[in-house]
Amino acid sequence: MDININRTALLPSLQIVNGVIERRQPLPILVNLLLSVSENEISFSGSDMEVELISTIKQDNKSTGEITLPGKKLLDICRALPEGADITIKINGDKALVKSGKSKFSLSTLPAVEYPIIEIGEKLAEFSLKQTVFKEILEKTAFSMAQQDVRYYLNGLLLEISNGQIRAVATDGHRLALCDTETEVSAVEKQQIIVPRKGVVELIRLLDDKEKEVNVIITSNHIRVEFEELTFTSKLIDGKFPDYDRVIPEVDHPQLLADREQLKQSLTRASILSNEKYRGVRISLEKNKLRALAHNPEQEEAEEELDVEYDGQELEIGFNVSYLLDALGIIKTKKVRIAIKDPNSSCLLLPETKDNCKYVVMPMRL
Amino acid sequence: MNLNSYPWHIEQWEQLMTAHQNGRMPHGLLLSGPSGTGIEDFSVKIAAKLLCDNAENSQACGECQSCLLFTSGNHPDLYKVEPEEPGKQIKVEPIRGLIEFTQLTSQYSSYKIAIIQPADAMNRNSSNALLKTLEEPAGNVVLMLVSSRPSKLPVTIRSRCQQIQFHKATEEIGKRWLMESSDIDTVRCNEIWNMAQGKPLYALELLESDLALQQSQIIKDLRGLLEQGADFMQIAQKWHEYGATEVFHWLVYLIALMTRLKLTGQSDTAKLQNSQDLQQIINQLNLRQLVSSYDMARRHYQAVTGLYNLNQTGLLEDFLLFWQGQSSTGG
Repeated sequence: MDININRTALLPSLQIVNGVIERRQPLPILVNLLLSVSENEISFSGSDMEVELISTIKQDNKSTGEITLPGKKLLDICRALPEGADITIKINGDKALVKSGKSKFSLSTLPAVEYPIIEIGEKLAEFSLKQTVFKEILEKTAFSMAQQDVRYYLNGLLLEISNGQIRAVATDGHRLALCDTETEVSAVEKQQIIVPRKGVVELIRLLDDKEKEVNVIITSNHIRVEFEELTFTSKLIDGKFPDYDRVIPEVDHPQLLADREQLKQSLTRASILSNEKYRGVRISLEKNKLRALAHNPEQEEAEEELDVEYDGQELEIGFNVSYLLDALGIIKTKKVRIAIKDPNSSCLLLPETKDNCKYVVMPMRL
Repeated sequence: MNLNSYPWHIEQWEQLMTAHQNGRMPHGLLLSGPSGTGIEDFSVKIAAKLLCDNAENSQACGECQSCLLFTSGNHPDLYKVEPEEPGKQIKVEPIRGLIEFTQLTSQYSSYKIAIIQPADAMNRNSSNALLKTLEEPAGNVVLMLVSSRPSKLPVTIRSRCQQIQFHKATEEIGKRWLMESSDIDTVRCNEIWNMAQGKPLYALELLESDLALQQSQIIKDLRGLLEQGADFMQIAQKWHEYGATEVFHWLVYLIALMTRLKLTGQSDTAKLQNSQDLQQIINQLNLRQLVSSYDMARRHYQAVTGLYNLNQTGLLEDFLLFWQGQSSTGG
């Protein structure tokens, strides 16, 4: 097997696949890339046991075959070669010979049969989505995922695929974010999968702001996202996501309407003098007025007052201000709607107009 | 690597296969038994069988895609945890890796298999980190803890596992296997088997390494110390090169044997190597001296295999000095 390829075509492909390869790999072969050559395609696969990336380059080849070779070293060689250089890779016995101009490199290889490439099982659901839309629902919820929680099913993002709708939900037990989008779905029945944190972060990085579509396939053990020249596959979290529906307060109409940027800045200022560990801020509401109060163990105090539209009952409620600020940072509309029933139940934050994204924050006793 | 199970493990193998076929595979297994009887291999072979694509075979087929990945050490649904170096602790980091592994879905098979070997090398943090996963793992997990000293495991770990006990091989099965696995005659086979104390893999190790030679040298050294007052410093140096753990392990067995022979008054040492040397030692020492030497060897064996990093040459010298001191009072 041998291939001829230009550095300009090869380098981006190698860079993207090397992104998932970790230095400390549990399986020895995973420091290698799987190179597969067919008659009209060259593909590189890299994996870290959790996420797998396959990058494909369209090009006609004279010979075909499969081999694995050290990914990082191949990338470093390509990167160091002059721009526009032509590169040939030739497999000779158990060595891969990389040649370009007067440079020659001989890399060690391992047989392709020893490479654990992911074969996805039976499709449970499939849908196509614009990259921007998919990226948006992930970005608007991912910040609420738990980190290294013993409730391992929270260390990821729930994707719920039902007829005509994709829903993303993330929670860490203190706050929750939910975002819906509508699309055509071919699914047997409603599916719930939990994509692990690493897969979510990687996917957000890969999804482009372009209008192009990606194809998403769900199986019982994997999620696969097919880009034009790239295939992303991630394992899932083997658990059941909690029943999030009961957490979202039911409100007929939110009583509080505030300018998002002003509210965010007020709370940021107040948070400076809140307890560094618990970040507690007291919010008191009266007609068309919101006050935020914070104090710390050194008895320093902050008080902020803001004009808002509010016609509910007077009340006082405490929050971890970081959770409120996270939600206010993610909502993009000019104004934000907030519903607070009483000081002991969760509050709901909504963008000004749309109802497809919801943010829930639990109160704290101060 | 041969993926077929050992003949002296049939009972345990079938017990687990029945559980597997009935869909009642326990998720926490503690495999315990004497070292040198292949319990480590048992865990690996069971793992290969559970991951093998050809479900109808009683053993892993060794030919399917899964078995190919397995033998090359690259099966993504198997996670092995071992100390970084033999004899060192298992730290909490690899255990965290294992926990993460169990929480994700499997790649090929329905099982996700993890092997911790030797489980008693886990330090306190590692054991505690494992508890929750061991009690209630996510999905179809089989966690195998392999240990030849299960009493060293915290009771919190032991109580969360189903224990599978392994025993020494019977003489018949063991000798037959030894003859099949190596090209030796019956005489040599008997000789090795008598040294191996019912542990077939240990027997094979004796055959293939310098171990047998070293062991006979140790007997000669013991006699030398009693008779001509050989230089104990030199011997300690030499024994240290053999490996203190191995030496004390051998000494414990050897002195126990000599004590037994002394007690029963038998002179039936003929089937052991260096029988003359042994007989000589037994004649020179009284029962009390043998028993206190045994105690010391045993204590030092525990010290070198324990969690603390003791000066091994020091322990060897201590034992040798004690041994040499007996010659003056012996009789």
